[in-house]
Amino acid sequence: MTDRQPGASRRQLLGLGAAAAALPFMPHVARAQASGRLVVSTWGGDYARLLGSNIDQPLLAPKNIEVTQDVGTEPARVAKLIAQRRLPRGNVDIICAQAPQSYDLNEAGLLEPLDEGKVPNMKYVLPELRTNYALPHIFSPQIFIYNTERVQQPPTAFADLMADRYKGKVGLLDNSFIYIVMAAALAKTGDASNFAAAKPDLEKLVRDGNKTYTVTDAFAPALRSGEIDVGPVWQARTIFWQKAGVSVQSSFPKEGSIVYVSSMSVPKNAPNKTAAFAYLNAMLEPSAQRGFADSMGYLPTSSQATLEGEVAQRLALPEPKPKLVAPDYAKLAAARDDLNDWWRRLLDGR
Amino acid sequence: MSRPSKRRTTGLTAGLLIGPATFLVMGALVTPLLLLARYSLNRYDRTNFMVEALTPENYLRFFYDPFYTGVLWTTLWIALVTTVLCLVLGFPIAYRLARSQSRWKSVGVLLVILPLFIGSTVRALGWMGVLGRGGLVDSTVAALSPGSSFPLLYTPFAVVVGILSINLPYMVLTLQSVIEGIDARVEEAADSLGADPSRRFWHVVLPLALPGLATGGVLVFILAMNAYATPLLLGGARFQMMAPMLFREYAVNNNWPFAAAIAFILMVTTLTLTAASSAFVQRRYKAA
Repeated sequence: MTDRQPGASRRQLLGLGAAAAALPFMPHVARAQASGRLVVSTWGGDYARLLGSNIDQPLLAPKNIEVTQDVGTEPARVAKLIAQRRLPRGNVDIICAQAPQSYDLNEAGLLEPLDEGKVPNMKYVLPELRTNYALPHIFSPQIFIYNTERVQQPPTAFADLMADRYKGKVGLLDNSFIYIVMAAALAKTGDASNFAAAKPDLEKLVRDGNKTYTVTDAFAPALRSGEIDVGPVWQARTIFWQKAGVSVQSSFPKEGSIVYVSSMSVPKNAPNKTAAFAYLNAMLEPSAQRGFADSMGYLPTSSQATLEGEVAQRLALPEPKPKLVAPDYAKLAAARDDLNDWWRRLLDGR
Repeated sequence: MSRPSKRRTTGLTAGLLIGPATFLVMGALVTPLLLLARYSLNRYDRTNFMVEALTPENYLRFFYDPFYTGVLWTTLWIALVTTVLCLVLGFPIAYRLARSQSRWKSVGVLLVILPLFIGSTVRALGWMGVLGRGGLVDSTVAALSPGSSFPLLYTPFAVVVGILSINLPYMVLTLQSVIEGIDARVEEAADSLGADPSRRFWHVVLPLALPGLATGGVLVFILAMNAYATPLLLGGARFQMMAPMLFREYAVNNNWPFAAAIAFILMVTTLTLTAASSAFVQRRYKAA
């Protein structure tokens, strides 16, 4: 008997331990059922902080909606959503993702359809950025960034990047090469989705010894040190790096600018859809939109959110207004695998 | 209580004690690996991401395409070069530390360990500052010979230096403990029998330290094969290694089945080479 006593207690302990270990995997048990709890799957850093200070605290806290951020890289968060796709109830209410990724998620049938009945502020969304599965949160046009100390004659068209004066001095961002392909296609054919036509230009740029960077933040030191002089990036980046003291300026391509859109959507299995719609509505409020323009240099996606003063000046588009081109996400998705493969082999040079 | 029942109780207690750990390893390592193996046989679909299938096509795609096998070769030679450099550079440091009687010995050990307190990404960023254009090396060269430039960033050299700086402490610490286990009197005996220092090293110290060299070598080889942040940040977009390629397939292309196959190929290559080197060293050790 005395031998069995500790055995039984060990078993109980093990049982308790196993139950405790399994708890995180049982969200319905572990999570409080408080109505108004909302999980936003987002990037970290400044973006997450600004969501907190411009949307969560001023607009949702008064409505008793408590926002929890699930911070991570986009691939990891998207992977989580894909992994949860068969669950009737997931644990994400809002997913922040780049527009092409949102398109893919919607194609896979993972996103809740959106309309003005669910999100009243949707009627103010800029028409060219509007979709019925993801709402654009912020956007930024692609420009040519250039070092003002070394470049006297800034590029005004994509073809300028291939001019001899910039040979070896053009920076290309690996993580947004698809947008560079679209810029080249737009310049060459007037159609940003004519990817095949753009390939020779990109091949020339890469083979001419221009520099490619895996991370966006490697671009600024390269511009500063003279490793590169120009490159196609988002306007928001110029503003961000200007604030950091780098002598850079933007020039707009005369053929038009492809736009980068960061969007938000609601997964079909979101546990708190009512709160999620309220969140999207708040995200489109002018005050929330202005907060992002001011701090990160991204343009508002709501026609209601007009900018004033110094921010308006900093983000002003040149006159005459450049053509802003939203990518055709369907064509992009169809060509993406081939483009990725072609680009990797091109960089590899084997 | 009779002897067999006591043994049975002891066996039961031992089973209960190792049970949770075994359960954890099975649940957290073996099951995901089995799942990964299963995924690697699935088919990729752009809309549905992954379609259930039992096909070897992901493996065939890898081995029949010189692009992918080329990346595997690059990864292998970078891992081998860094492992050899770790052995060559780590041994003297480890030997000096192990045989040191100085009161500064603990400071020396601390200096070796200190870099491990900083994450590999942060260290790679530090190297970017040293090797990049306008960095420490480049500006020194420019100061010595005006007009010239010597950027080393985004070259295989930068990747080797980055991985070496991360892996060297592991090698030094492993070797130090092994060398400390070798009786110093054996070396004294060799000295007194007239062996010169090089003979003493090749015929006494090295054979005795061989198992430690193998352990350290295997450790840093595995770390180098799986390096992610260093090749991505110091190698740049044109330099490709297995771990960043795997991540790209999984994250950028959403191609989980192919990413799973790459993961398996990387793992099996690493394990095979590790097992082969261990078997080789073991045989040599027995012969010695």
